[in-house]
Amino acid sequence: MDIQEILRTHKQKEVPQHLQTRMDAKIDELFEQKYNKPSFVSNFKWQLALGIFVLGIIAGTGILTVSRKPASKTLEAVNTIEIGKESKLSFQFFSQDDMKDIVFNINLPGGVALASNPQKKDIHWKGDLVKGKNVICIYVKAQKEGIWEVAAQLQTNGTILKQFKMPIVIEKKG
Amino acid sequence: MENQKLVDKAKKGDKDAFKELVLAHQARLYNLAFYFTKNEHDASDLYQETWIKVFEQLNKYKYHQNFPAWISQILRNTYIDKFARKQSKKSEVPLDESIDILQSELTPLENSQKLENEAFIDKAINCLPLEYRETVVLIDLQGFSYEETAEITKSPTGTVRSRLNRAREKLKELFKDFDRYHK
Repeated sequence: MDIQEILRTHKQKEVPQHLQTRMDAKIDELFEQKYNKPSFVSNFKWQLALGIFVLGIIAGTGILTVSRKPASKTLEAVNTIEIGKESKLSFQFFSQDDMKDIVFNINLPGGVALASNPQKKDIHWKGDLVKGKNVICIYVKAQKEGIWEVAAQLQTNGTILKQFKMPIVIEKKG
Repeated sequence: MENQKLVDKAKKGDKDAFKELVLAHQARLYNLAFYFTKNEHDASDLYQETWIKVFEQLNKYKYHQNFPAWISQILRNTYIDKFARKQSKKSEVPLDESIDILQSELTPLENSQKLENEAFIDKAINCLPLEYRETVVLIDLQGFSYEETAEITKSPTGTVRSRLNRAREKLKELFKDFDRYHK
């Protein structure tokens, strides 16, 4: 048994198609941000300097007081995706013990498609949960504008353990 | 086109040149990410994050540097910074919703046996501690030299050699249990 030969001939894993698509979109985004970003600062340099100067005077004279109280945070209740873009949906749950034979069903609404297989609307995952935090993720692609809801259920032996409803807003580009 | 020329073009804002670089090195980087994270889901995230860092650090790339070794080092650093800590904290269940159907000339039995063997090799590699795993993957699977591996893992070449020997010994032991390899 030649260990090096076994390893040398071991089949390489192929990069999943959905990851290539995701990477392609990410590169477009990176180049857009770096090279085509409209430079607000360079276009309005003197206006910006004047604004800061005037604001400084106002603040200095006490006309304007700025509250130091932190702004209240609003939780992002929905995922917003641009049409044509891919996004990761994560379903998280905490299990008090290791659990076997778990079925997780996800139903995608009309405006959302599975990134790796756009025709597939119902996704079923069978497996075990470990004690503690568990995360199941899928990559989806936004297809149609609107407010949609992804429904998911965690089941074992026909009993529903948990139900998820994840709202998704799909917006037009720009 | 050579890596250097593509890097030059990408630095000047040529998106297609960068995409060509990704295409040329995607298999190497994805496989490395897989053996670091041990699952496809985290491997995908690590892979994407590495390319973002490569893009951000393109100006730091020096022409005398070996490009595959340089990007592999970025992947390793990203893994250690983010993923190693994250993985020790949580257990993740990857949803494997895309199982590729392999087209081959093997019979169904041979094909399933071959797949089983491939899966066994992956499992055996993933049993190794990180420093052995990365060494054996970089040298035996990806074809890096001892010196390149030493540079990527920031270890002396002697350490790389001894880690590789130990990793191979350990794999040999694991493979002995697998009858299919006694042919």
